[in-house]
Amino acid sequence: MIPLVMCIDDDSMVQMLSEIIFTDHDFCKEVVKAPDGYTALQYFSEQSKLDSQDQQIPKLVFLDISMPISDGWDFLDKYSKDFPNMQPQTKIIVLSSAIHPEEVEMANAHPLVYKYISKPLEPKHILALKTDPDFIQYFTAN
Amino acid sequence: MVESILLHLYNPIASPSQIGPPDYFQYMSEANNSFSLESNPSQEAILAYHLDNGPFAIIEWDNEFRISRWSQKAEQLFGWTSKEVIGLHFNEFKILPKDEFERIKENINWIENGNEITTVLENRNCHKNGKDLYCKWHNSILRDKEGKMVSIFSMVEDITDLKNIEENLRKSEERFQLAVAGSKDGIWEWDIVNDMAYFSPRCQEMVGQQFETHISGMEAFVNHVHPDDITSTINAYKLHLYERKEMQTEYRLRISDGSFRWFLVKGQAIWNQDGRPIRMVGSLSDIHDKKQMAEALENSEDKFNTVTDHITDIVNMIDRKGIIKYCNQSVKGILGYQPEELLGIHFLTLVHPDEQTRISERFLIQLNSKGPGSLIEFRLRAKDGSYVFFEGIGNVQLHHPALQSIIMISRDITLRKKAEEIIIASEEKFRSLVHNISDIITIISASGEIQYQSASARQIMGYEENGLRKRNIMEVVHPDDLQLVLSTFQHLVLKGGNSELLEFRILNSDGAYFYIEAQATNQINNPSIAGIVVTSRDVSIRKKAEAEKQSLIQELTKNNADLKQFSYIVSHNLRSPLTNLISMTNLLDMDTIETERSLKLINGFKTTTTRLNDTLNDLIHILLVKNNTNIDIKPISFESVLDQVTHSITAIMESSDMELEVDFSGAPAVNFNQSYLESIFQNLITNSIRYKSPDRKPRVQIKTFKNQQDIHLVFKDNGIGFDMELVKDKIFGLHQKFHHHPESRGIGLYLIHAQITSLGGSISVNSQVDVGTIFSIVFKPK
Repeated sequence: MIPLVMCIDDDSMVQMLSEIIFTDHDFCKEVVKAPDGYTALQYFSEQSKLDSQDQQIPKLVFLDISMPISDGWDFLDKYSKDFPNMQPQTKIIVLSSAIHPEEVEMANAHPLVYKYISKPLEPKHILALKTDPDFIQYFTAN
Repeated sequence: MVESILLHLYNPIASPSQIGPPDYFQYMSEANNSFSLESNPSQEAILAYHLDNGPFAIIEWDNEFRISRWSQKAEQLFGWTSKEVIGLHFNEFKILPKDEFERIKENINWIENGNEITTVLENRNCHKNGKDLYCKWHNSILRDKEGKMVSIFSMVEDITDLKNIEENLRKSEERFQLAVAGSKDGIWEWDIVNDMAYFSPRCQEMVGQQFETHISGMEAFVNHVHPDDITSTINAYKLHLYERKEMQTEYRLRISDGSFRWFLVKGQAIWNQDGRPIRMVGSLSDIHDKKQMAEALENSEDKFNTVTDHITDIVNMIDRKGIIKYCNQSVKGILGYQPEELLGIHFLTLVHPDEQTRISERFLIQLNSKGPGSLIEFRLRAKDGSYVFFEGIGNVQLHHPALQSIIMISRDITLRKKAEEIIIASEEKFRSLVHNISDIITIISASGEIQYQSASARQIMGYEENGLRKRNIMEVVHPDDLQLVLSTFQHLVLKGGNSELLEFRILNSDGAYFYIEAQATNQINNPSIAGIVVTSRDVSIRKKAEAEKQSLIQELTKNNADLKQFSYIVSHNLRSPLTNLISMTNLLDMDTIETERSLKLINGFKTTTTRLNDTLNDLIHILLVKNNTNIDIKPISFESVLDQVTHSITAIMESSDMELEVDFSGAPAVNFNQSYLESIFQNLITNSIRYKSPDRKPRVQIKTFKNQQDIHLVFKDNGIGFDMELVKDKIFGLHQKFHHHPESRGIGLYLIHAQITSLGGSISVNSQVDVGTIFSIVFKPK
């Protein structure tokens, strides 16, 4: 299982549904929920102040694009600027309900974006991730 | 005395009473002290002394006019001794000549039979030697109780000398009057001592019937002197009276019609032994016309100088040899010479060498003519050596007695020359412009025949330059546009002026039509054009662009309508399955759900369905606001709308414990839509409650005021506020949420923004984190 996954979404229903799916498929041990990019950045900022052995850095982030206060793009900008040392450990998946192809293209083209998944999040997505070479390590150990 | 009058002259309004009575007459008695009285004289002796030594001859008569007393003075006066005349009647000696007796008979009768007790008589008497005497008789008559004369006491005064003077005066006066009557001048005489003035009838005639009698005070006359001349007049009198300077002065007198005329006054005074002036005689002549002529002459000279010195033209007078005799001041400004410098020199020396021959020939020809010649152009040398262009005309007045010269008037035409050069240059410029501009210039006759076309016609229309010449313009106009072009053209030919800008199609040399834009000007009456000038340009490209734009607009309009239709359909089609979903969630029996997981999901399903319904309702609402062009606008009271809103949300308000502070006094009402205003209040108040600070009691202040025509509404809360930097211009956008409040749908501010702006108003916001938010709304007058 992935030790820590972060969900950045302002829709509490999405958060709930994601969590259910994660649980159903033994996807992760823990979920950190952030209602917007700003709160998520605050989390990274707090973690960076801790000693490296105490740090809890999510290995995977599900990022919504359309959010109040600080949206997905805003998060990506600031994250790439402020936390370069965390980027190798963390993969970011954009999980969005956007239907505009340009937005999908933009997300896929972003260097920090690992993948684009169109909402809703479905079990097949989780299953695919579990066999993904980048994550398979978390599911084969035991 | 004279001083007093002169003093009075200075002050014409002083009344005559200020002039005191003459102190001239002073009775000087010659006391006779040669006789001395004895020690105790009788009354009779005293009386006899007085009667003999008094100034008068004393004669006493009895009741029959017989002499009873004849004093020494009487003896001296009349020549007879008292012995000779005592007891005689006045008829018995020659004292009263017969003719005089006849004259005063009546008076003597009054003495005898009247009741007077004193009489004074002046009459001629006779000396014993036969000489005439003039005597003044002061008679005192003693009468008895019945009034009958008892005796007469006469004191006789010799007035012969006085009488003689009077007589001489009378005679001279008569002569004088005759002289005066025959003179054109008026004669005046001034008795300075008594301030009596006499003015001859001629004076009266000249001055007008101003004086009621011939005799009046001099000051009455002086009052007619023109105020400006009083000082000089008085000075002239003074100089004559005291310094005996010749008295000859000119002054203006007011005549009967109130106007002033010039008079010449000459005078001669008579002085007494003491050197005091006593009389003055003089003449008065009307010199008004002469004076006016002199003035007019002076004026005309002045005028001439003024005119010639101030006109910009140079005026000279040249004699027959060509010598400059006069030059006005203008020469200074134009050529730099002082006028005096030019006097005496030959005018040709100033003329440009190239023109000297021509000008000198012209001069010789003109010498033999008379009056003005024709206009010539020439150059004159200025003082600095440069040459100035002039245009001049000579007027030969050699035989005019006052002028005896040729008057030359020359005008500096440098500017005109320059202007002409500019015109020539601009004409060339115009020609090259016409050749090079892209506009087609066409000149058409009133019948429509093309007379000229600029070079650009060739490029644009394909015809050779002037290729359409002699053809009628109407032949190349598109048949569909002919009506329009023809009527415009005919109107222009008839009414003149400019036509409107017309667009029509015209045939090019390839046989295709293209659009031009043309404007025509009627220049038929302009001799250099004598036609209709048409400026036209090829607008086919613009026409094409316009057509494209038009089709684009049509397309966009259609797209817009389609989109609108689409959003209606979407909302409608979404609505029906959504209502089904709502019904289903309501019908779901939650108690039968056993697993925690399912319960969680079903609850999430219910919440999501409700939220979807709210969102759809908001979208429908917005669609209505955006498309409602015909909403009801009327004056609405802020107070009443706020009451309705607070009433509808009483529960929320009460639970929030909100304090509402309202001031609508600045603007109690606004011309707006009722439901929009409700929506504005409701959204703002619920926002304030939603985003209230957990640290303080929520407080909202609403205030309205008027600024010129606009009505402002300021809505201020003390809530948590937000960071303006983060929000920027997104706050009124659709689905822009700035908080994670569960009820936030990101639609309220978007909606009121849409409502306000759809009616021409505006809304702005200012906020500070943890201080509060201020919304400012401006309602524009509708």
